[in-house]
Amino acid sequence: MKKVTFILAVLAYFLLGTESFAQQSIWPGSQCVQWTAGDVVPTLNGSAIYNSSASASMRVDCPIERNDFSGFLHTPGIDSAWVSVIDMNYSADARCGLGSLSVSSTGVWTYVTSGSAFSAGASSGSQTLNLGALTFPNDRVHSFIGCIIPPSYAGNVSYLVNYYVNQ
Amino acid sequence: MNAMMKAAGLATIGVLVGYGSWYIGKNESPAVTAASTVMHSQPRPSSDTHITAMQPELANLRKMVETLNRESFATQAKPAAGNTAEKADVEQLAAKETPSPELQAQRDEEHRVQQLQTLENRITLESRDQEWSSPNETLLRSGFAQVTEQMSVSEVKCASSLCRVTGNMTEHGNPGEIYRTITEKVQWAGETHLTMDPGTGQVIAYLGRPGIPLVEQEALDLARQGSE
Repeated sequence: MKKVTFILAVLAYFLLGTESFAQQSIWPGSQCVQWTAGDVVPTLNGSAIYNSSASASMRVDCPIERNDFSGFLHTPGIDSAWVSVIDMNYSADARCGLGSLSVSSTGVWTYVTSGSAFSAGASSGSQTLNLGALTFPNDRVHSFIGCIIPPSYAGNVSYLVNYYVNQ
Repeated sequence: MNAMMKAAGLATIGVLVGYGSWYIGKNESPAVTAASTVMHSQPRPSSDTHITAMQPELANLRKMVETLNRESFATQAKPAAGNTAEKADVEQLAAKETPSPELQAQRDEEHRVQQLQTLENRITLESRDQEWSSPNETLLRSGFAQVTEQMSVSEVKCASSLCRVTGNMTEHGNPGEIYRTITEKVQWAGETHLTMDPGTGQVIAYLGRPGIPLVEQEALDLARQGSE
């Protein structure tokens, strides 16, 4: 019995002490910030954001709080993520992708991104853009979701409602 | 965590997993066995038969890349012969459970170089898939032509499972703007690995064929093992 207890204790040490547990979060669109100072400023509505411009796309990055790190038998990364959007533009799609950035000690910038996911058609209902997964190349990268929301179409605005991350 | 503790943990888990597998196998019902056999004998559904047909070749290439990386990493990681003081320092640092920021930065740099080498080996060893390579080279040339204010493109090359675009940053170029412009103008549906060195001006973008992982998990694991 003592042996079994010892083995379980050792296992618990290795598995619980060094692993990070999967963590799921949903963030409101209001977390997202424009790509540059010159970009369209997101307009808030119930902590969702929309593009009030009739001519320019709203380009935003949505932060991901990273809490998954390398551990014993564990490779860190994002297992899945999605963004909820309302695309009201009949001539342009909303699109989003997962990204990560690290700047090395030698000054080299490395961006790793998943493929872009696009909205399909236009409607007043929300659409879920599945962004897939992303493995972190090291324990110093941060990650984010980059989105481009189309301009308004005949007065109807497109939204980034919220986003989900499972890491 | 030191290597002995890791080994002990691995051995313990191995024993328990082995016992569990033996126990489950011993107690598996005939119905479960039959269902399992049927499931495994079903052809794997795929919407892209060409990608499926390429899998054996890709698997071989991955093995070759892994072997090359292992050799390459072993050469880089080997300390100079006779330099025992340096070797002792390295071992002492590696033994620390929480690496210092300097050691972590060094490891990250090794990972980065390793990852780039893996991608470079892949595109060098892979054959071209004419039906996919040529149209995507055209697509990328057209997309990157919209980034000319930020970078000049020197080569666009596609193999079977990935493409590579190389170039140099212009005097107006900065990494953030190049990334943003590529993201917006080059509407690539696969994974992207973009490296920019403001010191040398070099830009290298690897773009994975949609549906095929660009950075292999095995390569990342290998890089981690190599630096531990």
